[in-house]
Amino acid sequence: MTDYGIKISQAENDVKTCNKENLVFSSKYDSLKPFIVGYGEKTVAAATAPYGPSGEELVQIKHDLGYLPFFYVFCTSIWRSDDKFSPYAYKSIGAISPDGGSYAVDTNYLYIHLFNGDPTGSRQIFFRYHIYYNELS
Amino acid sequence: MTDYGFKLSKPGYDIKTCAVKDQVINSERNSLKIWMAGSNNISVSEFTGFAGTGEGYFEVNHSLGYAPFFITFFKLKHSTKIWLQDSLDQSMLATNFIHGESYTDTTKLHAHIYVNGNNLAAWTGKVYYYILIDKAMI
Repeated sequence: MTDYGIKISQAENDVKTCNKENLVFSSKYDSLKPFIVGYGEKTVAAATAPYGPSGEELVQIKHDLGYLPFFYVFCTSIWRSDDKFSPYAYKSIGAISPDGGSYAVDTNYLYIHLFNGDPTGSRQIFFRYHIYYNELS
Repeated sequence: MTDYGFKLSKPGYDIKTCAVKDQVINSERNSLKIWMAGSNNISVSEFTGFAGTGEGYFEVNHSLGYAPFFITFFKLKHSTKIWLQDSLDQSMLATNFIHGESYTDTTKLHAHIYVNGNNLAAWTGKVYYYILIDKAMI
């Protein structure tokens, strides 16, 4: 097949000879194409005991792409201030019930499970989500 | 140096004045390019309590020569949902903690599924992976 397409190199790099790491764009490689981005917050009930089940809330984001899309989610933790986001998963911290988030997709929804490991009261957890057109296949 | 290059703005933004965040592409800024994407089944062994293993593994060669940026997703015990790496399959929390996690080195992406909880017969999971052309350090 004839070699064809579009390539753009970073400054000071010869597009005809530079390696792929120094290309800003190449039509040879796909890229992540954002579909939906958003954010929100949810008040999550207290854990039932220090070692007990964490409080849980489920947020469902409808995407209706009809296939499994690439996605990423960040949420706040009850152990940090509300401006600090991470893909913090459902983990245990010493004797304290787990907190953080677990995330999944199917062909129609993004599911954001949020957890509060604090047994002393409900907590507000913030989240940000990114859904891309790229398919998991 | 002469100002040269290539940039495209999002709809509704003036390419001559808009910020980088409002540009689709800018030849002064690198972008994430997908090197490989794919999926593979993972056979997970029986979990028989603390003496059992309850683990499955898959590796794929990427041949980049550095540990690249990656993201993985896992089909675990839930019948339809695909979980982001390190998430727990919430459909199984009452009896089992099941999750997938991954890492890369200079030659491969390594993906694991782990089971911890009550007894669980052997089953088959699946990993979906994206490996990106980004080595973090030049």
